Amino acid sequence: MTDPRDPLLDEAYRESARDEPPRSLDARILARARESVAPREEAPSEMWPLRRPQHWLMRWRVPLAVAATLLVSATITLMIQDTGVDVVLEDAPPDDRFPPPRVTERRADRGGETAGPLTKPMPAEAGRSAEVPIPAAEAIPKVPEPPFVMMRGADELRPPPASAKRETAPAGPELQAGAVPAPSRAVVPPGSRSESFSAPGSQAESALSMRDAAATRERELRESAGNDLERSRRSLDVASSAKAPTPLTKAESPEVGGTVSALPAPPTSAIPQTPAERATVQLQRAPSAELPRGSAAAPPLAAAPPAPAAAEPIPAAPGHGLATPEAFVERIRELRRAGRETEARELLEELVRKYPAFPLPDDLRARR
Amino acid sequence: MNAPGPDEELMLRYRAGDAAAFEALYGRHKGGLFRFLRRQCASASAAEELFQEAWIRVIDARERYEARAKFSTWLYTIAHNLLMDHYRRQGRRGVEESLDDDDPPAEPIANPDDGPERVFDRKRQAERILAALDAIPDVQREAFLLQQEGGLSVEEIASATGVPFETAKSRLRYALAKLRTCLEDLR
Repeated sequence: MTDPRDPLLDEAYRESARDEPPRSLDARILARARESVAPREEAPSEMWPLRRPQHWLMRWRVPLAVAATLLVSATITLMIQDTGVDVVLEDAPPDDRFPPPRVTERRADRGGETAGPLTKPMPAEAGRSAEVPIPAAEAIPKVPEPPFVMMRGADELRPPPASAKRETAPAGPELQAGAVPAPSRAVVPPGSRSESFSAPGSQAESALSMRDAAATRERELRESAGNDLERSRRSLDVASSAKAPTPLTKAESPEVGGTVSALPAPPTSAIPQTPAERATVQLQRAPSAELPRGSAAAPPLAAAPPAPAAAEPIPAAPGHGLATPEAFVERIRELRRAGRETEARELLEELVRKYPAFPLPDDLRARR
Repeated sequence: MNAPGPDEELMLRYRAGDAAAFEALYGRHKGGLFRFLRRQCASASAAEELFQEAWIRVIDARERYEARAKFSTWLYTIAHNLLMDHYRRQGRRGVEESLDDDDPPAEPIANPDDGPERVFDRKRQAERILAALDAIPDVQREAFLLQQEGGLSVEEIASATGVPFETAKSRLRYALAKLRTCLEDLR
């Protein structure tokens, strides 16, 4: 099969068609062709630049994020360990009659180690504190201006911060005059209770001197506390014989390791009724707080006086300690067996008054 | 440098990374492709743009190239498609286009051995042939140019333009007949 052709026309066209593309166009196309094959010729060295141009922030973003996270976590952990979680709670309303002391409470966590003092300044009214009556002043030992925050059960004694010194300084004379700081108690987990009193006034310079002062004060307080407890026990005996049953006082003493129960109720003058009086008791308890744990030089507070639990049980006041009618009945029977008919009758009346629907046993109903 | 082989071999060498093979291939076909496009575009710049685009497509298709057909057929098929796209963008068919006044047709390169009279005759002949080409329908002109510039057979013309063989043959025959009529006095 032959294609249609005209040789004369072919020659005429060929002679007339001699135009070519511009040289610049040739150069561009050839350069493009060479560029296209260049990566293959220099593959190992040329491929890297394609991966290299990446911003450093993009390359390091993951390590930076991890490092920042770790840093923040470590900082927060250290801060928590250093400062701890401090709770300052006051179970007594502020009493205007007493100058509020600086109470620093440290709540040891369950591990019992770390807690930073959180000082809560209370509005001190120096002028009013001078006219404060001093309840049970004879029971309060002269506090030799503890120059630092003493932690009960704490392992360390540390000087108060500068702000604490500044705030506590004016209160010194008041304490020397016998003013009792308002009590403050922190709600802390059982077993990890620690209370501390920041006695104002002193500006101790060295920890050694502070420790000496603490030991001296501790001895004095322990002696006075022992005397006071003895006095209280004697008063309780008198009170019980005078038929003045009072609520049992339960006090936990972590240092003793047990609960001092059935503590004889002291006479009204010895029982802390007001916040100031409770503060007095707390001050009496302070020696054990000032001692480091396990210190042989500072035996626990409850070890000195005879155990109150050994005292003869006192009949509870009607209704007190008897939560159920059955307990009433049992108590009444005990009283009757002991020959204390009057008290048994009173308790029976209390039972009837408190639980009118309770069916009395026959023996009680017969005697009523 | 290796001796240039057939177009397909050069293209395969270029696919393997031999840039010199492409230069040889380009040297063989650049004039024909350029004139093919130049005869069918209204402006030289459009022809150059299409020319460059056609070769860029060849370059980009380097790694996918397979010698299943003649290289020239593939090259002019690319050029044909680009031309059709160009026509669509222009909104008119190439046969209706007229040459711009400020863009005269390229003058044939004069032979230095020719005398002035011969050069004048050649110039005049070229103008008449180009004028005759402009006068025939675009599909017939394209078929003629594919035969003259690309060296394609009727079958290859049919393949490059996407038409049946008989259609391509008919177009070519009509183109030759009209050109002969226009250039009757040259005989």
